[in-house]
Amino acid sequence: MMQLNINGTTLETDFSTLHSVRDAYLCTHSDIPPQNLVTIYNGYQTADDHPLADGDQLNFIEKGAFPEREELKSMLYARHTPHVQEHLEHATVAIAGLGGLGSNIAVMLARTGIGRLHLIDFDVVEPSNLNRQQYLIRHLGLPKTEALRELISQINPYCEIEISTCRVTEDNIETLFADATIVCEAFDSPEAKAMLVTGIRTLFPDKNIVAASGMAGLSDSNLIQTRQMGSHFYLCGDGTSAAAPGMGLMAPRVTICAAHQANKILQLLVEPS
Amino acid sequence: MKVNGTTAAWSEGLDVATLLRQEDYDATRVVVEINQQIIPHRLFTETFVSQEDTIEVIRFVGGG
Repeated sequence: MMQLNINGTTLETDFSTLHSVRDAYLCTHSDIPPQNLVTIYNGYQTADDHPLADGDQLNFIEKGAFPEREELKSMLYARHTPHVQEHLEHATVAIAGLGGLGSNIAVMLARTGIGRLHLIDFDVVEPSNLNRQQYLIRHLGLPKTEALRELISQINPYCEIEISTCRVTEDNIETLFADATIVCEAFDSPEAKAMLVTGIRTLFPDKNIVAASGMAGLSDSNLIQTRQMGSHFYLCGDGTSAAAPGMGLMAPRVTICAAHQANKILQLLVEPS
Repeated sequence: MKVNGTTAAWSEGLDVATLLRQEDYDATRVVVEINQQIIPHRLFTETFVSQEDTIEVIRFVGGG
């Protein structure tokens, strides 16, 4: 006997191969045409057979069907590396600034299964945001905090969202970020970036902060890097490409930089040093 | 005195605000650490640097 996790439920079983479990699943779900069944084995979608071991995670997903609520959560994370999600579900990531960086980071972290996001921005969605930010036409005029909360609820309803529709100042850093496991700096203005990084490193020297600088224009994608700048301080970007007259912000480089930040946050949560 | 790994000109009574001007940084857009200790912006004019200090200045550019 061994234990397998199938669609989020742990079961004792004598089956020792992936195909024997899949065939048994099809027997008990005779309404599913076999060609519509997707099999995911420890985060990997496969049609091949595999010997199974204790603790393996399996998902059987019917294409086009809407799953039961209790199965949806397991299916959402079926393509993750096994056990990644367990490190994330108790974490709170505070994201300061919900523009091209912050809205993309929030969506990536929600897709990965972060337990709780604290979304912070004072501004509303306007048309010039749509070139690189996650918002939709229907969000125009809404506070970014509310628009992003609505969007994430349609992607991962298990991600808990707290919103603060306000400006971050030196005076409210201590209260706004007290609940955060990790702080993500995602502002547009360089003064706000410097203020927040200085504030967090002064008030919460043991909290990780992941910040960004330099992602405007169309320079080489590979110039954007993640660098550790000190204990608990990481900086993503190329360090030099400033937004300026004649130098715009476009989706690809901003999204690359956002992905650098999101991945560093995940690394810090899953593989704490 | 080292600024970002490079030896920089030091003089008696040099404060952080003057150092940043001398090295052509905008004080509102930087994070400053002296010997791995962060210096809040409001203390730039009253924090003095000594000849042995190691100073890191991290400059932020706009965009996000």
